[in-house]
Amino acid sequence: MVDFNNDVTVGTPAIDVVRILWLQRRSEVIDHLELYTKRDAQGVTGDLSGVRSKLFSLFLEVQPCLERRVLPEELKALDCAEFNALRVKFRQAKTEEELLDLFYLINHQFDDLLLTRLDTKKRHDRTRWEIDNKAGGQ
Amino acid sequence: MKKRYFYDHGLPFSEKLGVNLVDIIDRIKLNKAGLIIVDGGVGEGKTTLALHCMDYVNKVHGFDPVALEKKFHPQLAMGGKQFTGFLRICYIKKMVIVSYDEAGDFNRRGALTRLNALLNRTFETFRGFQIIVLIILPVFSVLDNHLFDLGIPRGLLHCKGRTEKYGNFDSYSLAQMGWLRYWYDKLPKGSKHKCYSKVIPNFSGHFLDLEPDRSKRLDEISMEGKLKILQDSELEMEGLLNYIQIAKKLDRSVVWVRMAVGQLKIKHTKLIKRSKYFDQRALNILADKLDEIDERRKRK
Repeated sequence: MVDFNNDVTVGTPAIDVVRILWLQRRSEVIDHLELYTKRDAQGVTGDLSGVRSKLFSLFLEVQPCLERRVLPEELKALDCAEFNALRVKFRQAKTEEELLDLFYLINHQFDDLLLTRLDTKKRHDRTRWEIDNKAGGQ
Repeated sequence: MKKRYFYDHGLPFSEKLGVNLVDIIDRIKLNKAGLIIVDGGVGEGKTTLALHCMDYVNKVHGFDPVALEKKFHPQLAMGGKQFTGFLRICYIKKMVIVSYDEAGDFNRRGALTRLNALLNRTFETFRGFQIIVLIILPVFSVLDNHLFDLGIPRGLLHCKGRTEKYGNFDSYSLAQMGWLRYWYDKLPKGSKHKCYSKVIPNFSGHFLDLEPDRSKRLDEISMEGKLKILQDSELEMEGLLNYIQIAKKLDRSVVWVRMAVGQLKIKHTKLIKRSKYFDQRALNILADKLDEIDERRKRK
């Protein structure tokens, strides 16, 4: 957890602190989605307010980055003509489907930024010499 | 229980090896080098596995199993001398695979350098032959770094722990062989063989024995090569030389040596397979004759 009252955090480069903050916010959204899914499965009427607020916080955190990186096709897929429309959508999204679509957008950006991507090595059939050699550049 | 010579899938070795052999066949079709190494300790079934692989490649190409006649086995070269000749025969007969069994070659001085030079030349010159070379060695690391740098060996089959019913092998790709070589260099003398336990094989497999008839014929071929080496080393120990060796030592032609031996009536010490062998005394007599000739020339 990032603690701004801690001297260690103050001494940590801003980029590292921001990286942790983004992941923390993302994790909180997932936690709220988990809670919502659990209640839904129990037959209790779902309450998405937690997810909505957490997702909006996450959006505020990554907004300048999204503004730079989101592709026109991605905006189009979310029925947004321009980035301002997306901003409104993040604020006003209400249904589970809308919220998940927006979350996926951010999730993909994190993956693209290698924030959440661990599988940087391509998977191949190791039992075949030629495929393994090719993967090793030989 | 009746002894098995084929698994249920119809092959005498693990199916995965068959897939890899087909990959190598596809590779050589693109005029790329394809060398497979089979290594392992004495009696682990290196030659048997190599023969299984060759039979399979032959079958894929519609050829009969590898010929194992005592006087005709062009796909199974015993020693470096046979290898180049057999490679040519295989090319002419459009065969796709040839093997090189060191057959005790490495006990000779300079054999490794010769082998590496031979392989380098083979793969640089005869790549277009589109022939897979299977090389059977006690330890794969005797091969030159240059061969590995060029990416010529494509796979290694390390035979180990052979039982009465079947043999076992671990298989390594070129990429994994790099790690094997790393560990081989790093480990102390006497523990070098542990490099195999440091690297995870790409896959492991088993192979069955050859059918009794083929196994017997293979033994005969392999023993013939080994007997020749034994005979050579026996002659070397006794210091005996034939016409060719004497000619090399005296820097004269074989014809000159034959004539000189006849004129001086030098008796041979041993006669092996119609080849005459002479002792050191004969060499000294011939050397004296050479000195005499030189002196006579100077006086003129």
